[in-house]
Amino acid sequence: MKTKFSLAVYLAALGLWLAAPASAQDLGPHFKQVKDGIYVYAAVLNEANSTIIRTSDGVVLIDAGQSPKDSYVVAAAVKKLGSDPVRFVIHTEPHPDHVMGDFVFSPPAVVVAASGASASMKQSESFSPARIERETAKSPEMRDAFKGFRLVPPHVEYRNRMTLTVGERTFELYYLKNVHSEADTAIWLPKERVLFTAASVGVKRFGNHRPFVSIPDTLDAIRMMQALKPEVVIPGHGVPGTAKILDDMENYYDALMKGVTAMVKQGKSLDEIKKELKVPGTEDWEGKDRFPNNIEAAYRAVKGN
Amino acid sequence: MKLKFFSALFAVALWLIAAPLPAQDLGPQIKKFKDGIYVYVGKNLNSNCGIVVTQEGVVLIDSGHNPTDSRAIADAVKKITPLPIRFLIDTEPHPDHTTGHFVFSPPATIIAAKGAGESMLARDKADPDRNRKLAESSPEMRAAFEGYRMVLPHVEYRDRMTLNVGERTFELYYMKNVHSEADSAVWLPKERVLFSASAVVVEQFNVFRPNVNIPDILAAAKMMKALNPESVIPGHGIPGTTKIFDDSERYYALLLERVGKLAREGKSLDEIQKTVKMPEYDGWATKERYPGNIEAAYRAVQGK
Repeated sequence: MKTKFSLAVYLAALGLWLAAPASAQDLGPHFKQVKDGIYVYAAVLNEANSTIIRTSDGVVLIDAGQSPKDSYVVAAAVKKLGSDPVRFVIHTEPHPDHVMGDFVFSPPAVVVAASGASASMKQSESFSPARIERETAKSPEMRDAFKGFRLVPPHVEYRNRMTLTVGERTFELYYLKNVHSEADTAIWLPKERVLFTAASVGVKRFGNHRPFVSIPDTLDAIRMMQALKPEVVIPGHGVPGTAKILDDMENYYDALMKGVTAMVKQGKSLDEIKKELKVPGTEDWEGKDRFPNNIEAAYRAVKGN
Repeated sequence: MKLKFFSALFAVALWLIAAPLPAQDLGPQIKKFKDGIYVYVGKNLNSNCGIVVTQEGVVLIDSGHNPTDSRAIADAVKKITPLPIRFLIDTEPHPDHTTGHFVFSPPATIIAAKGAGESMLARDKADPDRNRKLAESSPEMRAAFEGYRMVLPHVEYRDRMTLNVGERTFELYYMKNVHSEADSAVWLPKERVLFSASAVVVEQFNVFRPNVNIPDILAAAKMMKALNPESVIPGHGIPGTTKIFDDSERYYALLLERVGKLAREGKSLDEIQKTVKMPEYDGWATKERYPGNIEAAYRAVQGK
C-alpha cells in the first residue's frame, strides 16, 4: 500500500516537473528572468538584448537577437517555455543587430516598428548580399543560421505612439526621436512596470551618436521614461537593471553638456574640446572610441546646430 | 508528343485551379474593384467589408455587419485564395463592423485607431443583451454566432500608421469626430483605393453623436479627396468615386447655409428643426437621423 502511494506521489511529481515551464536557468546561461514570464537574452555582454514575453495569447519578442544564431537560441528557448507561437516581434530599432533574425520568427510573427524602420532597413548596406556573405563566413554555425535569410520589413509602422494588446499584457510603444537610429521605440509594460529603453541609453557604455542624434532629444526621452517610474529597465544593449540606468545616463549627458558649454564659452574649438574634456565617473565605461562623437553631439547642441 | 499534350493539359488545369475566381462566382454581394481587391457590399446599407489579397495573405477592412456576413466573407476568401487572413483593419469599433472579429482572429491581427477597444467594451456594457437578441433573430444567425467571443483590437495606433503586407501598403489615418470614437480611413496608395469609413455615407443621412461635428467631417472629406483616389469604398453604401465626397460636401454646405440663415435670424434650435427642409435629399435613407443633422449644423454655425 505504502509502495503504491509512494509510486503515485513520485509519478505525480514527475508529471508536474515535466509539465512545468522551463525556468530561466533551464533556458541556458545567457537568459535572465526579470519578471514572471519575461526573459532577457544576450550571449555576450553589450550585444543586443532579445526578450521573450509570454502572454496567454502567444509570445511577444522585443528584438530578434544580435544575429540569426542568437535568434535560433531564442526560438529554442520559446519552445522550451511551452508551445506558444511568437505572435509579434517589436523592434526597438531597425539596425541589423536587432532585426537580422526576423526571418526566423516571421511568418507567422507580425513585426512592429516605428515609422521609418522599413526605409532604414532597405537603404542599409548591412543587409546587402555582400555583407550577408561576410557574416555567414564567420563560422559554420553562422552559415547555418543564415540559411533561408530574407529581409523582413516591419508589417506595422506606427508614428508617435501605439498600443499593442496581446492576451493579458499591454505594450505601450513610444517613438523616440533622434536618440540612436532612424526609428527608435521605447516599450512600456504598465502593469508589469517593465521598460525597454531601446539604445537611447546604455549601461556604463558610451552611445554611438550619429550626426542626426541630439543630446537634448535624448535627455527629453530619458526624462519621459523616468516619469513612467519603471521597476525594471532593459536597455537595447547591456545588463538589465532599474531606473538607475536612466539616472546615470541623465547625469552623464548633463555633465557632458556642462563641460562642453564651459569650454565653448572659453573659446575652445571642437578639436581642443575633444582633446581636453573628461567626464568624471565614466573612466570604466566601454566604447571609449565613441566618446569623441558624443562630444561632437554636445558641441552641436551647444552651438544650436 | 503525348507527354507534351499532357503537360499542356496539366498546366491549363493548374491555371484553372490557381486563377482567382471572377467576382460573380463569389455571390451577388461581392464586387471586384481592382486585381485582388474585392468588396462585400452590405445589403440595405449594412456595413461593407474590403477583401484585399496580397502575396503574404489577406487583409480585411472591417468584418461584416453581422456574424452571418462574416461567415459569408470567410467562405468567399477561401474561394479567392488559399492564403490566410493575416490582418483585419477596423474602420470603426461599432458592432456592425466588429462583432465578427471572432470569425477571423486568431490568426488575424486586428488593427484599429486608439480608443477602439474601450469603445467596444463600453458598448457591450451598455447593451449586454445585444448579441443574444441578435443570435435569436434566426437559425442562421444563431449558427453564425457559434464560438462567439469579443475580440478587441491588438494594435491601436494614434494619428497615423502604415501596414506593409506583401506587395501592398495600407496607410491608416485617424479621423477625429467624424462618426465613432475611433474612425480610420484606409488608403492603398499604389492601387489608389480608399476606404473612407463612415465619415461620409452614400445617399443616406449620417448619424450625429455628441462628439461628431460637421467641420471635422468636412476636413476629413477634404483630406481624403486630396489623396485623389480612383475608388472610394464607404463604411456603408455603394462604393464609387470621389463624387461621394462632392455630394457630401454639397449637402453639408446647403444644410449649414439654411440653418445658419435661421440662426442669424434668432430662431431657436426647435424652430429650425421644424422649419428647415432639404427637399433635394428626399430620396436619402435614414430620415430619422435628419433632426440630428440639423442639430450638428446648429452647433457648427454657433461655433460650438
